[in-house]
Amino acid sequence: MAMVDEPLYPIAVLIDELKNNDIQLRLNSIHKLSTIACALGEERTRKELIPFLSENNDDDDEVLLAMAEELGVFIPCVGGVEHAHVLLPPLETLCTVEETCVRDKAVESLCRIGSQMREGDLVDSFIPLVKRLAAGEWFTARVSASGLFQIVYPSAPEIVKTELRSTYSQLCQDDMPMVRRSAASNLGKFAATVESAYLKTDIMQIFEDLTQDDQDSVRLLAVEGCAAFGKLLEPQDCVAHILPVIVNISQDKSWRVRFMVANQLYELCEAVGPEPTKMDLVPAYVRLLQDNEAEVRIAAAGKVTKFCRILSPELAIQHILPCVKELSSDSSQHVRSALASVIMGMASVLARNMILYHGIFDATIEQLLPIFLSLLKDEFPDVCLNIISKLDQVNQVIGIDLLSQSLLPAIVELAEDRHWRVRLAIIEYIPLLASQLGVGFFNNKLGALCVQWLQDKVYTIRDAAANNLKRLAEELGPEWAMQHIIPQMTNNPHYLYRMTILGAISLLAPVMGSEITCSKLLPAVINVSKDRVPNIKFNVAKVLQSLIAIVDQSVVEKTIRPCLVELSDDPDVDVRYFANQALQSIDHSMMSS
Amino acid sequence: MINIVIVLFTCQSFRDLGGEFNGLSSEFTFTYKTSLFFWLLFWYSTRKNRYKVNRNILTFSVSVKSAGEEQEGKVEMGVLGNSPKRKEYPDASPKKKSTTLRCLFDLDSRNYSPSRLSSAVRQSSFESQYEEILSAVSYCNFIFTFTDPLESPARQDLKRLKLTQILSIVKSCKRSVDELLLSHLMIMISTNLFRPLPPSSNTPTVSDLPDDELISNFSPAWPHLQIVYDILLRLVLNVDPTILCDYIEHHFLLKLLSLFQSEDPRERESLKNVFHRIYSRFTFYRSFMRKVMNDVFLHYVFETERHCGISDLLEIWGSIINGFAVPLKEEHKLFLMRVLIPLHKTKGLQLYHKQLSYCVSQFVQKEPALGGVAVRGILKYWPVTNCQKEVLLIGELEELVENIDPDHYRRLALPLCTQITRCLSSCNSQVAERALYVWNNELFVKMASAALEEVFPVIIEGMEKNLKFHWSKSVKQLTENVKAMLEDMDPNLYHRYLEEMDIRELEARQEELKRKERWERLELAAATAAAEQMKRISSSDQRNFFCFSVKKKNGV
Repeated sequence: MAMVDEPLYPIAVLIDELKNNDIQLRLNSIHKLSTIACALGEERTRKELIPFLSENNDDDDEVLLAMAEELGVFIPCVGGVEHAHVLLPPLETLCTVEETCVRDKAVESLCRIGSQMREGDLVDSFIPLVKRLAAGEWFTARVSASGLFQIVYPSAPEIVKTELRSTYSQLCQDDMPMVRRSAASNLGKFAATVESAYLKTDIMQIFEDLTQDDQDSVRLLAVEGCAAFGKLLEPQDCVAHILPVIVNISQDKSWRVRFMVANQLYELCEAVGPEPTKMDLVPAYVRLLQDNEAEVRIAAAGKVTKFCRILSPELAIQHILPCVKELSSDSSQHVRSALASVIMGMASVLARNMILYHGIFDATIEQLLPIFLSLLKDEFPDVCLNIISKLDQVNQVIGIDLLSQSLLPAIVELAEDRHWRVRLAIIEYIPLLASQLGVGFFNNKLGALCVQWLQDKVYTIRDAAANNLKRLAEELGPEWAMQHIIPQMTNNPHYLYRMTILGAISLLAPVMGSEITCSKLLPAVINVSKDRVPNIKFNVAKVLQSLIAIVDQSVVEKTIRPCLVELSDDPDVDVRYFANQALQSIDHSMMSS
Repeated sequence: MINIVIVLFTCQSFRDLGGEFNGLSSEFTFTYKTSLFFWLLFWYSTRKNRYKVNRNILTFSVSVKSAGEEQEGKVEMGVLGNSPKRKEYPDASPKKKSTTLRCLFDLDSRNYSPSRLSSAVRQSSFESQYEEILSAVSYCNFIFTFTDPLESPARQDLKRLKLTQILSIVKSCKRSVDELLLSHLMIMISTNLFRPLPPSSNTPTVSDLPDDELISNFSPAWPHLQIVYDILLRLVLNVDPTILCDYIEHHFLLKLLSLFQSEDPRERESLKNVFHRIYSRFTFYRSFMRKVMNDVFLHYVFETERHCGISDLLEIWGSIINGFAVPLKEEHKLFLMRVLIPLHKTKGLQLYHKQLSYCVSQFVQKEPALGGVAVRGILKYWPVTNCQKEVLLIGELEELVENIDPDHYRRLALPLCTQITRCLSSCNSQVAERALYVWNNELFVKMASAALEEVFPVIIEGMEKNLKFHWSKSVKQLTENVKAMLEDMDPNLYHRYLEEMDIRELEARQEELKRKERWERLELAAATAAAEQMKRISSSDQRNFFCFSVKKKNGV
């Protein structure tokens, strides 16, 4: 074609593409920016491509997002870190657009570039950029600015550092809540770069102001960073400054803030050390466990084990355990469910110093056990499931015998739950139960249950049940499976159930080994090959194909091949197809061996 | 429910008092009907002192006594909170109560000449009356949650009664309220209204159901809150803003604004009323109030997309914009561009679209030149998959076109018609039909005809595709109609473009090939450039690796 002779102008190609109406084409071309840059060479990329991108920022947010992302890894295309600063102007404009995702991505890319830039360049070009953004007229620029301070602060000269700190504190007092929120959530990162002398003064002041903001959305973001901030300080400073703030804010009027405190409190304990924890944080935490708002109790209950892990066992038993007991009969199912998901860990936490506090330990178990049992009998399936999922944690400490009596009814009830997702969940825990409870427990009821699931009305359950049998056979050994599973796998008038059993056989065979497969499983499969439903028959062919590798050559020739030959004459085309496939693979395996 | 029972009971036994009932109702205008009955009930029981069999009546009679005499006890109760059964109810003493009520009624009737109130209060005969009101106000600082089973319903009713009492006093004070009383009232209002809102009842941000009622969560304490809102409204309306601004300051306004997140539509309705009144009466707060409302919008659009009260706030804005003077200030235009138009972006648009489009159209009516900005903004935020939003936005565009400055027609015709064409061949028949109906609008057609040459190719292509491929019969039928209309506009042009359609399709396909080939050449060039560089710099530098990885990524 004639066009081949046309000279190629990479920039022109890009400009042309970006004018297209189809957004997908514009996106594609932005994603190929690096190709264009390569074709242009480093210098022209710097002088032509980047300025063009800086001006062309009036596009769809999706295109801008892609651009922000591409520019983050563009340093090699402009000729290495010494030229990295040319990338800043386009990203700066992207930091001021309205769409939040674009701004976030631009800030991320700027951080990535900034962390590679040379110190001198940071001072010359990055710091002015941060200052410009922080003084931006519209909130978008100021919001973006607060995420960039941690990049420039360490390399700034002393005098600029002072200025940066005061700029940051201005952002924290901005009259738009959006800016304060962004500053509050970035405070932790910024604080990590600030010298410890200023941490106690400047940053502490900012933190205190933020925790007293009149918007709860700002306060909760300030709390979110408190633990990270606390760890930066010396323990005594943390106790003197952060602790009172947190104890105070743990009684905030807004439940969202209290929720956040409940989530963060245990981390703060590590920062302040044991004594203040005992004095101040334990009462605060107990209050949160007894909060009026269920959401707060959920958060607090979910952290109960982590919190107790930090405390000494006596403290935990004395203060936390009574609350836990109360929560176990909480009116909100979600609170109980959150508690159930962590409570099993309590046993091992409290048993840490078992020898030291032997008397206490027994008493603890006496107190914990009823809680376990009552949660296990909960009417809300999630609660029981959460308990069952963590059985292994408790088994090491108190032994499972104490629980097993209540366990069985709970499992049976869950196994027959109306909702198939609940049934699925319990099936998935069965191998875990098997490993914890041992063979003895499985002999009677549970073995039957496992087979019964093969006849569930929901396919997913039948499928999971077949997998479960395989895992059980792995866990408890082929002998056990021989005795308890295989005799119970009987034929069913409904072809879908017969198919499930076929599926189970193909899964079990590799686990059971050649001998049992030949003697028990294979005859069953051959038997079904005379089924009247074609779907069963071609599945037989598939299963037989999978068995070839397991059984002896002689068995293949004697039993499997004749059966397959018969199937390959079937009137149904699919049956013939799969039978032939299986026959071919027999031939293959013969040739290779 | 118990109220209704009592009311029925009251009506039965009060049959003989019909005359007085009428007389009363002409003097008092209660917004809340049941409270009228309580008043009657209360009054009747105190005067006749007969119906103590009913527990509620008994409680009411006690209430007045305790209000008058046991002020200390009450303050304590307000602080201590949950001990509803702490106090024994003594027998009511009818004498005291009847005077009390007389005073109240006298006070009310006198206040038809309102200037006399303050002097009347000072008079010794009304001193106890005044004290009583103050104590009633402080009584109302006690908060009932209505969810705690330990709270006694009798107490709750008593508080409501007292609130009603306060309301009627405040209503009667047409000009000024005593400073002390005012400060007590404002404290009471703050303690009652500014409570933490409970977690949202439903986790998904927006319900698919457009019906507001279905997702609302009614506040259990509403029987009290309602009267408190009424009291606040009365104060805002009656008291001089220069006095009231000591109590209603920025902080108060912020807290009030945050209550718009309440899921109870009744509460938002009251709030809207109060907030709007404050805006109109407190002129010195206007710019502050506009700013904080904007913060709420921006927070909603760019951060959470979770707020129940956007439609109510926009309703207030609608009337604010209505009052803007022409020419519009730059600040207000910025508001349109930076706040109102981005509000079209959220997935919850359905819940407040009516109010939003009213606001936008107010702007455009005031200054038709802004139509271009509005149209472009809406086109920018056009939804990709949300069909309900598309239907709404098509409607809004149509309405905007009616108000747009005709000078802008030429510039806006192409982008508008491109979008409408895209919509009229949407697989969703509702969207397609809505877009086709747009052509019934004379002004829209007029706008399109301003740039017929540019617009026709786009529309004709969409029309023809619809006629050939669209699944819906009614869409096809409508397309047929619109096609006939467009053909009438300029038959020659129409047929010319129809014939050119095939050619354009061919061109587009060639363009596609060209593009592919151009990119291939570009990638080749990039690869050679990278290879050359590799040769030049023998030492393996990182960026060369990078270029190679680029090549790989793009499949060269």
